Amino acid sequence: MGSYVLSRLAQAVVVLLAVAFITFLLLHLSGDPALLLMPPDATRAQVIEFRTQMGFDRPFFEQFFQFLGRILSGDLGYSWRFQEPVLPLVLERLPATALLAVTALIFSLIIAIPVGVISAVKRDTPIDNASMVLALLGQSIPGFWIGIMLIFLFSVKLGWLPTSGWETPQSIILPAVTLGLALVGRNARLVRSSMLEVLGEDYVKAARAKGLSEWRVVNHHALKNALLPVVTVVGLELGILLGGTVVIEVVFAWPGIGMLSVQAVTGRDYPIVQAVILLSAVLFTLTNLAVDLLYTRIDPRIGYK
Amino acid sequence: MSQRIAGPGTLAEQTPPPRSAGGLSRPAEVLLGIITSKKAMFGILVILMVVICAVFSPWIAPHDPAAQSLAFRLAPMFSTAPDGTFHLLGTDHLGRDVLSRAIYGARVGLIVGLSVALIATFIGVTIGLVAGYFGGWIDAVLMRLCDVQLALPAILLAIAILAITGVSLLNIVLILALTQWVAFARVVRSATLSEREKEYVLAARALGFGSARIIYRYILPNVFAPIIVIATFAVAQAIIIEAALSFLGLGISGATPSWGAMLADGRTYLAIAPSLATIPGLFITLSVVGINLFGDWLRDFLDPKLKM
Amino acid sequence: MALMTDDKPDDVALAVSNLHTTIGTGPGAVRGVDGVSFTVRRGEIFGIAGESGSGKSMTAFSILRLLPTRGRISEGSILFKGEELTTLSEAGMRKLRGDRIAMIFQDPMTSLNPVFTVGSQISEAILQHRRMSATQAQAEAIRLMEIVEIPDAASRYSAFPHQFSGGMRQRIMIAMALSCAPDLLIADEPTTALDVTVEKQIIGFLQKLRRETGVAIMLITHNLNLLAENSDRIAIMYAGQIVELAPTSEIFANPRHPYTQALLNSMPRGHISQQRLVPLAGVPPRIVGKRSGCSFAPRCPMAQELCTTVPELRDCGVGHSARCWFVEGSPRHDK
Repeated sequence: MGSYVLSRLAQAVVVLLAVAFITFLLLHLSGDPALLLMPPDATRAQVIEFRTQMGFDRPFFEQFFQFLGRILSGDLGYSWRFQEPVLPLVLERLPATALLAVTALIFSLIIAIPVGVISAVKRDTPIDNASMVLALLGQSIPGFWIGIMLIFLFSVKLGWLPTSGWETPQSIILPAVTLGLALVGRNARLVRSSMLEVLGEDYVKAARAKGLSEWRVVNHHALKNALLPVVTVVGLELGILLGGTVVIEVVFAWPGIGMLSVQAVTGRDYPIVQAVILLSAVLFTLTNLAVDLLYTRIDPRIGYK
Repeated sequence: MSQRIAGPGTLAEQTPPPRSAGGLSRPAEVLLGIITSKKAMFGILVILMVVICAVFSPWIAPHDPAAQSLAFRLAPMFSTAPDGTFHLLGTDHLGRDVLSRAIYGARVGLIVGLSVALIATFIGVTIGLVAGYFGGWIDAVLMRLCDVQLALPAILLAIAILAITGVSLLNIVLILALTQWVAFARVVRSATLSEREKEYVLAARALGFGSARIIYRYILPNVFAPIIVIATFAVAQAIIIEAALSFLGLGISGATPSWGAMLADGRTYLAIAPSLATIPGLFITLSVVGINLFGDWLRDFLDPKLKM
Repeated sequence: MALMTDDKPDDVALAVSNLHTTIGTGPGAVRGVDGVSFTVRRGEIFGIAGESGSGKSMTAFSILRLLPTRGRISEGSILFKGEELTTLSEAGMRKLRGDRIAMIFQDPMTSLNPVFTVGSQISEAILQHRRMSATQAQAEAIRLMEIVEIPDAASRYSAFPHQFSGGMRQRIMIAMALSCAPDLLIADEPTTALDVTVEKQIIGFLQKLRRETGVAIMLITHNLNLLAENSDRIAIMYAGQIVELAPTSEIFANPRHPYTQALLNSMPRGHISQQRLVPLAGVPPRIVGKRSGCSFAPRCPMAQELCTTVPELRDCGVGHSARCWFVEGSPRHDK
């Protein structure tokens, strides 16, 4: 048990080091990182001074270790557009992204779990077929398009919900539903296939042979087992969503880190882009680590292996 | 706990091997499968339509997709311009024919989708085969590489790289391929892990065949089914992400119309001409649904037990 | 049924007659169980033997009416203590399952739910059928675990299935089956997944159980050796039908059906070291559509022209019948 946690931690550290290296490389893609990090109107002297100050004239790997040292001490650079250090700027936007991510995920599960269970129980019936076609549709429709269509319908036409931004509590409804719809499809299919597998298990037959009602067999004996693999996937999804849901945040002008980073790319404010990429990767890796460790608590079999 | 071996005193616990339906050959079986499945038929039909639109766009499109008519902008569907030209799906903010642009848009979608899937297949399959076949530290390194790829925010990284290196079809395809290879690598790796322990591989090793030969001649054909299925889904995925990039303003722009860019342009005029944003979205959705339906059928057909 | 046995009605726990269970519909439907009739008496261990796919498990699941989605009982009657099960409501069936008819399964590794404690799974069975508080059910579950000789039962109550060995898990399944003192216990290959010493213990339990409670036991297995010492009567199944039915000693001393004979020749018996074992080649067929003759004929050394006509069960001794043209005796009329 302890060695499992340690090895997972070590893997996470290795992955994050590699991510740091890639974000570091990103700046060198253009040839001159100093130019990328300075405002477009900086003078040549300023650029040269900055280059020496940041150590961009040093050997490549020395630069990388300096970069590592800086990010480990919490210094993710300075945004010239906001005239502020990057880290607090990004952290300030994180709650909006996290709220949107969690709301969307909960919305998707509220729909996906019952749909998946019913589909599995009513396998190959019209209900199952219709649900699965709808699930596939949900997976296939581009989120940004659905978002625009929802804005058109509920904001422009009906005027029920705000178009964009985060002014009122209702503002979260459209972005969360848009983000959730794509997940509903995948999660419903996942719940269905996991449930189908579990329904064929001996312990489900044994539960029926005990005289339990079909409701209890399905929702107590089968569902708890069927949700185990779903937990892993939902963890992955949460990790991805926390890293910023770039497109949806842009569609709804949702003030999260995704929106911030797109603005930063357009404004060539690369320290912010770098910071968001790093933060996304850290959040993703930590979420997965947490889910893996949580798994040892919810699946009684794993803790003892 | 010892596993009991069926021997004398116990009856054979075995079931007869599954029979191939009517002894059909493989291609004939596939064809029959497609024809008898509504899912597959619909998928194939849509895919064919997209391919035809892409290949024959100059002949199918009623107008030049780049021809602007500032006098006849934002026309609704089914409208005729003063010069007598008919615009089935109306015109956009520059007076260009929406239907023609949508038909031409299939080109970018299809080219990006196919090339991304091809490159991602190559990268992912190679990594998966190597990781699964050699195992040990090679496997550990390659699997961490997958973790790194998954940990990176794909779309943000893509737009950042495109903003730094400049937008071009080649750059887009390469960057999207980088976001799609992990699924191939993981599935091929686990399939290879189980294949390499099988007797025919051991026999080939015993004959002294080299690793490369064993991988390509013996293992690859046996992991072919999942590869095809994932590749189908990768095409659909790439079309969606390409459209998202165009939507964010970092797609292929200029003379080549793309669905994502049309959607982004149309968004500005949502209140006055909602069809401008609706139509390209429908085209994207329809093609992606078609491809996904086909992929879904393919998965059930090739291997009902396949889990993805 | 009255024709074939001289049992007092009270003695018969289960009477199955002319049971047909099909999987699927239309011309592709498989005859899983095809006209099976037998009775199981109180306190009796009734063995059903056959290869996989012979229909023995399907017969068991038909009795509990727990068939796969595409399966259904198409004909016949199942009388349990005088009550007709084929037409009983689903709610009525649920009251019987786990209460008066209990079942234990082949693989104790997979028949306990891995995410619940063993104790809670036994309690659940008790609470389903008896008016009891949760605390009382827990005490009862621990008592049952003690009956099946699980050491340290009280503290093992909240252990998970994977913390037990295979033999211990099968004891827990038995404890669960005993929770409501059933009249009929269906044991579907209860020892197949266990090793020989554990097999002895488990079968020992079943023997003790029927002596002490008078429960009727249907012991389904592919292992005839197991039935030799542990059953009163045996039905041999092949391709969905009973091909021979006789008291256990008769089956071993005087097998009449060529399939039974082939089975016996393929297994070592007693301590006769000189015996030559003849392996049985091939697998039993799945019957789709109409039967064309004796199903065993393709594998039968005695098969002749006559065998292209479907044979019926014929009486060939006291309580002994076989489904073969070459058995002298009168055809049975139990349909």
